[in-house]
Amino acid sequence: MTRFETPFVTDGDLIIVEAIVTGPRGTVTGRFVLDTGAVFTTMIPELADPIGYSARDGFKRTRVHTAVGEEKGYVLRVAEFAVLNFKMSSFPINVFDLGHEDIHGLLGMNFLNEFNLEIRPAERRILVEKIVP
Amino acid sequence: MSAAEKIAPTITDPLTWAEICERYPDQQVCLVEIDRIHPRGLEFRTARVIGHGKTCREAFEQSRAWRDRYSELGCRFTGQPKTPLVRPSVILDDEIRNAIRYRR
Repeated sequence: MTRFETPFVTDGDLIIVEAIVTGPRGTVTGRFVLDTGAVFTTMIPELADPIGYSARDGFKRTRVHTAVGEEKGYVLRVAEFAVLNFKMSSFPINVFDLGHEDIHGLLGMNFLNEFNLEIRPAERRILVEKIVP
Repeated sequence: MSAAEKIAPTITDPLTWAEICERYPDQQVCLVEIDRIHPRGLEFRTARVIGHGKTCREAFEQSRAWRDRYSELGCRFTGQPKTPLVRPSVILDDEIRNAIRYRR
C-alpha cells in the first residue's frame, strides 16, 4: 500500500501541518494542529469567509466549552478538504474561533480515523496510508 | 468604507519569509504565489503579499481586489503569538457525532 510523506513544523510542542480548504469562492491554506485528542476537525471563521462560507451555510450548531464559558460554533460541509496529501469532498468541519494568532484549525479524528499514521518527530515528517474500506 | 477598503490594492514582489516579517512586523499577511520548499509543507522560499493587517479578516479583506487572479490564498502571522492555544471542548451528543462523521 502506498504511503505518503508530509513534512511538519512545530510550534512549541504542537505539530503543525498545512491544510487546504476549498469552498465555492476559492481556496485557502491554513496552519492546522494535528490533534489526536480532538474528535472534530475545527477551523476558524476567518478561513471560512474568503472561500464563500458563513454561519448560514452551517447545517448544525455546536456548543463549545472554553475558558470563558460556553460559546457557539457551527458545522459546515466544505467542498474539499486536503491535508497530509489526501483530499476529502464534502468534509464536515466545526467552525469556531480558536483565538490564536497563528493557528487556523485543529486536524481532528474525524479526518485522521480514515488513515494509518506514523509520526516521526525526529525527522519532522508524517507517513500516511489510506485505510481501504 | 472600511479601513481595509480605503487602502489601494497592492501586490509585492516575491519575498522571503524574513523579508515579509521585516516589512510587516506583528501582522497577519495574506499570501499568494507561495513557492513551497516541499509541495505539502508549510515552509516556502518566497511568496507575494496582497493583504496585511491586525487580523486575518483584515488581510483577506484587502486581498479582495486580487481574488479574480488568485484562487488560492494563505494567511500567516509574522510575529510571536501572544495567546496560548486553548483547545475547545465541543459538547457532544449523538446528533453532533453523527453530523461530523465523514461519509465517503
